[in-house]
Amino acid sequence: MKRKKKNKESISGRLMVRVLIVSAIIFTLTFGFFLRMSANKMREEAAEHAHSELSNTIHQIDAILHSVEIAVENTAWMVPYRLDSPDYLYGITERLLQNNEFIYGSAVAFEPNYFSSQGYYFSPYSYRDDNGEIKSKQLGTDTYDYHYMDWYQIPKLLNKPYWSEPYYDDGGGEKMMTTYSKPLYDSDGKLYAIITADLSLEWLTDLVGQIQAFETSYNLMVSRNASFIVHPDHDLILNETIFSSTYGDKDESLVKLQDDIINGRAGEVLRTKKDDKFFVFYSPVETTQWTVAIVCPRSELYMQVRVLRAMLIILGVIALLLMIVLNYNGIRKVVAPIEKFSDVAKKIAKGDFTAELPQIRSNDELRELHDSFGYLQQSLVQYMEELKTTTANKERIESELRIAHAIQMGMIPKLFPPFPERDDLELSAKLVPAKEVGGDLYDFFIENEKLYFIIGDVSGKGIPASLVMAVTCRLFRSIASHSDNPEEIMASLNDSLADGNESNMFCTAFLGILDLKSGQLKYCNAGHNAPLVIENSGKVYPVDVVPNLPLGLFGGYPYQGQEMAFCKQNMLYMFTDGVSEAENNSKQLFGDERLIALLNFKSAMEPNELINYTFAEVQHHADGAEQSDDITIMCLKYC
Amino acid sequence: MGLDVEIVHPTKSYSSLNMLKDGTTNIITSELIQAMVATDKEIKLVNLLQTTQHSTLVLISHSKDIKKLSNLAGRRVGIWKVGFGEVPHMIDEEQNLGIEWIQFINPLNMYISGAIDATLGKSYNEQILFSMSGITPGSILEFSRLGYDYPEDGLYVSEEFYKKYPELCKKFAEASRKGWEWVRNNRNEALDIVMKYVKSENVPTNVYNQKWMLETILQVQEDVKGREPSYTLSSDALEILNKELIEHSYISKPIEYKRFIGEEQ
Repeated sequence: MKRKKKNKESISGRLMVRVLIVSAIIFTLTFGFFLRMSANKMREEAAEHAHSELSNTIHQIDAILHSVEIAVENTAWMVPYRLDSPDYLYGITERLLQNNEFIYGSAVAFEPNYFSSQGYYFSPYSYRDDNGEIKSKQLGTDTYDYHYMDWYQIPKLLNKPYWSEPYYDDGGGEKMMTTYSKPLYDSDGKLYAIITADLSLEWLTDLVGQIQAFETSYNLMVSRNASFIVHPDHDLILNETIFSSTYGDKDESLVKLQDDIINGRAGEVLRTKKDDKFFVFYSPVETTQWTVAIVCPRSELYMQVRVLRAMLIILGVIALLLMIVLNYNGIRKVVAPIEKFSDVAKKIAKGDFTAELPQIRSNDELRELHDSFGYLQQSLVQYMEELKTTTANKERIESELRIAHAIQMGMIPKLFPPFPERDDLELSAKLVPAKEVGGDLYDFFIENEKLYFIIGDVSGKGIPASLVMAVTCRLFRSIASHSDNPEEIMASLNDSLADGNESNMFCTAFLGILDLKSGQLKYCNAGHNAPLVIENSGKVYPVDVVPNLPLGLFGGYPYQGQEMAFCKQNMLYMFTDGVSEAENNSKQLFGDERLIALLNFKSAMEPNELINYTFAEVQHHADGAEQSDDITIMCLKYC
Repeated sequence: MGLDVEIVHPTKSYSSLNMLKDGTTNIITSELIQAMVATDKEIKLVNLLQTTQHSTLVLISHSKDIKKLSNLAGRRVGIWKVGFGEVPHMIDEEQNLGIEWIQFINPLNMYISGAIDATLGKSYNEQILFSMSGITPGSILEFSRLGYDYPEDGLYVSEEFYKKYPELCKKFAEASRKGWEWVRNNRNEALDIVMKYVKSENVPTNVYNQKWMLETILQVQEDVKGREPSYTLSSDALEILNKELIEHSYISKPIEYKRFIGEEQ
């Protein structure tokens, strides 16, 4: 699948997007805050207006209710004076109606059997009939026991006047009414009757209905038991409470409303009904603690806020568009030098370290970038000069090392077979230094039918080791030519190397002299790995050696030589620790045991084959790991 | 069933039992305890149908600390003027609590005004009404959980009427049982019918109140294990109440079960 080519992004574009996002967020937060404040302000003003309207209406209601209370007070004092003639009490209730046009009915309801002549019930009651004429009757019957009506019982229990909750009085007036009741006590403080005044609540409906606080608002009134007294839907009046339809709900606004209505407190709540939200502003009537409420759809209250919000959105969009137009060129101008710096960087990458930098006149981050680029250019020029010198020096050293390598390799025999004219000896050797030059060495020569040979390993690596190796090789040739005693040769080598050995370098070595006629092998070891004997039978074992000290450490050290009979067809396999200590990537050593196991039953191989085979196995073991030490193997076969 | 029935309602202060005694009605609904007391003292009754099997009596209090009736010793507690109050009275007498019982026709406004400290009520009626009036009581005690889970409403006739018209009584009981079963399976239609009548009779109520009332009533018609209503009075329930009522001198001798349910007529 072809990958779509990625569009080139620009800093100016990104900056614009970022500025736009940040600006949009700031606009949104600012406008949101402003709108919220406006909404709160409008709600507060609406609440103030609503409560002002409520206050006016409640004041009128209270005035009417208070006039009734006064009328009852002004009448009640007459009752004790008429107790001797119960029938005259009708005159008192009639008079109360005559004195106050709002009063629909009035009773003086006595305690059970108060008058023995009147029986259990006695309650003179006067009321207005359909024609407005005042009529009277006795109220109590077996089917209307007034003693258990709220208007009688509650003031009796509370010992104070009481406004009853509105009710349909099917025993008396048969209209929705409320009753003001005042308990009457005899001289002993014992209650003997309740005097009442009934008010028809039709005037209340008119009064509350007149409030027009908002265009689409409506008004209602509830009693302390939350029953509707006034509501646009007349079916709800005294049938439903303000909480009927929400029975079982327990949201916060409902709990507050319940609490306020029961306790006669003013307030406001936001209610939800069928997905519409309404503000309910309410205030209690002081006299009765009934609650008058104005219900206003939130949509009307927040109409202006919605208009304001639409305007602010349009203004915000225009402001953002203007910001894009006005700022884009400015941002382009600011970021243009960055593109020029990019071009300069490309030229520098191609080697033009003196490419001209763009002119920066401002003293800001771009100026710092300009100065940094200048410094970078200077540094690069200087670095390149140093690099040239360093490279030349390195090339010279490498050349010298190549020459040293050639010289070192020239110092050891490398022409094999070395003695093609002889059929009693086969000999092969191989030295692979870890660096250009190394500290391993081998050498051999035949004199008087004796093979003199040495293999050694100078401590350390590189040039210092190679110099010691060269010295050791030369000393071996010159000293061995005057002695056929390995101990003497080793001692002389040691003395010569130890003399003036300020750097404490040393050399391990194995030196042998094989009498090619007799097969007698004399040898001396100086701290070197013991060579291996590979018998014709295939058996491999290390030569028994006295370790002695390596060469060059202590002059005058008494080296102890050894000798053995070397059978024909046996091979002597000599090696440096570069073989046994060759490491792979897991730092695992090749090991002496593995070497012996490798050489077991390889007697059929010629020395050069054995050496190449060993090198191949060591390389296989190293598995690509860098060679850490010189590797040298020398192998001779006595035929 | 071919019965010609006229339904007559008692008033707030004149009970159905009074109407049976004065001959206004032949068949009434009454609470079991009232019917037992009346049978012992005034007029022998026959239980045609036992509609509810559990107590719906509750005690609604202003105070949060009311865990039993004795917490209201010496306080004013509302009680119906007519019926329903025998069990609380028995507890009051037994424990000598000295509760000042305030008889009421409707306790709602007395409770709101603070004239009483607590009131008795029915879970299907007053408790719902209080809640719909925005009242959050301090505590509500259910008598059914206090060890007084007695059957309540039933259908009664006088023994005399039952002897005279046994088939009519059985037909009426069967019609009532079928009526309740139809209501159980057609609740919305039943509510519509109720609302039609309460509107025509100007009864101050609403569909929400009636719905909750119906649901509660249907629940207490079931037995303890929630099985289908049996509509019969159990002899065990009558036996327990016989002991309680004799012990508190509400009745002088045990009501005979078979006679009370019309099997020995």
